[in-house]
Amino acid sequence: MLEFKDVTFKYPEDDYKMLKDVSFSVEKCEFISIIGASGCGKSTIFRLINGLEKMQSGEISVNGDSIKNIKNYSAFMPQKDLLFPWRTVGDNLSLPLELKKIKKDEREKKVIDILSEVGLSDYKDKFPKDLSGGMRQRVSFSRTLLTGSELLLLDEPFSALDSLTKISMQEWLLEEWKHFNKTILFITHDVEEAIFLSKAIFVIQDKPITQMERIEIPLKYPRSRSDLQKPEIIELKESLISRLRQKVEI
Amino acid sequence: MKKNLPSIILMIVLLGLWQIIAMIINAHYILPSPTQILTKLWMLREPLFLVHLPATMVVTGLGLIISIIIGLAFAIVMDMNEKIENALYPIIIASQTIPTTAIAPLFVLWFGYSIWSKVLVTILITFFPITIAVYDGFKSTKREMEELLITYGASKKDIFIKLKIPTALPHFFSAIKMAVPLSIIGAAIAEWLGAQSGLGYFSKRMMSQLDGAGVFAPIVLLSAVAMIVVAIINIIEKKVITWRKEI
Repeated sequence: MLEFKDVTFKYPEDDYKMLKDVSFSVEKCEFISIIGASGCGKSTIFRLINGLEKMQSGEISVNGDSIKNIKNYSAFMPQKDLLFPWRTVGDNLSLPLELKKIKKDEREKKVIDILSEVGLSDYKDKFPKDLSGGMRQRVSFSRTLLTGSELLLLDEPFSALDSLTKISMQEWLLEEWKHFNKTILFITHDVEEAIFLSKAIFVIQDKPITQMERIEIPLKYPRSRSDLQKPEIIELKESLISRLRQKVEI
Repeated sequence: MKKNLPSIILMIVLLGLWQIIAMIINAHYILPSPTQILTKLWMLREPLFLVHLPATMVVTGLGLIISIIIGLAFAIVMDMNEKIENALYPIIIASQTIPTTAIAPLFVLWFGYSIWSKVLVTILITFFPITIAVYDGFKSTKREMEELLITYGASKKDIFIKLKIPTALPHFFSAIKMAVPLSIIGAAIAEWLGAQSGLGYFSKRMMSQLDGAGVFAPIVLLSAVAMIVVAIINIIEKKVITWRKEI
């Protein structure tokens, strides 16, 4: 589905590289998390995928096609929900559809369908300020889905939520992932979150990033929170935390 | 009403002080009292409201509309192109260093006593806050929101219409609230310096007759008009902009 091949990238204002000859791949319909210390370049990987930054060398391809030649191949959900405060929930959802010049009737139908899917049918005409943090993230995720892209890039979407809402949102996200059959690449700082959600985790330890070590999560779907208490999962979690802590500068 | 109470009380106190000082000085041609001004306003109601107020409002209205058009055009082109911004910005700032009272007679020389000499003075004073405020509004667009739209495949035009205009709208309303009093001041100054009608012209005529209350009466009228228009804009703004605190 997604393939990085020897990708090298440096921000123009920096004198060091963020990525150096990085290669990795993600299969269709996988849920993959990327974890690493702050500033290690996780978000840069997303910026490269969605074309906001141009790599110096290498190739990124989606379904075998270079991203230079294709459009609408990925959809990005940022850390902040970035809902437009002057638009209602329905109009916010309609935004990616408007940009694709989809007719009003069709847009309306898709918005109503997705709102019913995410359990927010009563909020179509409300403004973002009327929604809780969890609801706003659900709207933001729905807007990402409505781009129609197969590859979803979620950049720490639940990091600003309180711990109880975060747990509910993680379970909700897994249900939606199964339902919509999308490929998800998920950035997080939270090792437990990464383990609970993902089929595999890419661990970033170096700076510049030279490799993405893939660690498979030994759990089957559907998952429950109690799975996180299994000895092998606790062991995995502790080992990942201790590896990441070595890279944390305070 | 409760919110405005302190300012109403302060206003009454200041007017009371003014009244007392004017009564002590007792020289209405230098300092007329508020009651004398109101009496004059009532006495001269016909020429003031039927002749001179409409004349000033035409100048103000035309000046304001043209200033909005010019201000928005400058803000848009400066936002669109950095080279145009670098070229225009210093000139726009320099335009505000021109002493209006010095240049207004020149406009009368160019355009005679027609309405356009006065409209030009009004524009010179008014377009600036609109340009700068709306331009700042465009620049205050959140980079993350712009990038999100780019990832959705938005063009520059889409970003402008769907993101920059709504972001700049609160700034536009602030600009209009500054521009309304400025356009009235501009029109009055222009009339003071060369006109055959208008509240500025009327005030100047009263000055030559040493009629202090007659000088103040049109000024009071202009202030009242400015306050009413700004209050109306405030009401419209509250209805249109519900998201000011969210940005």
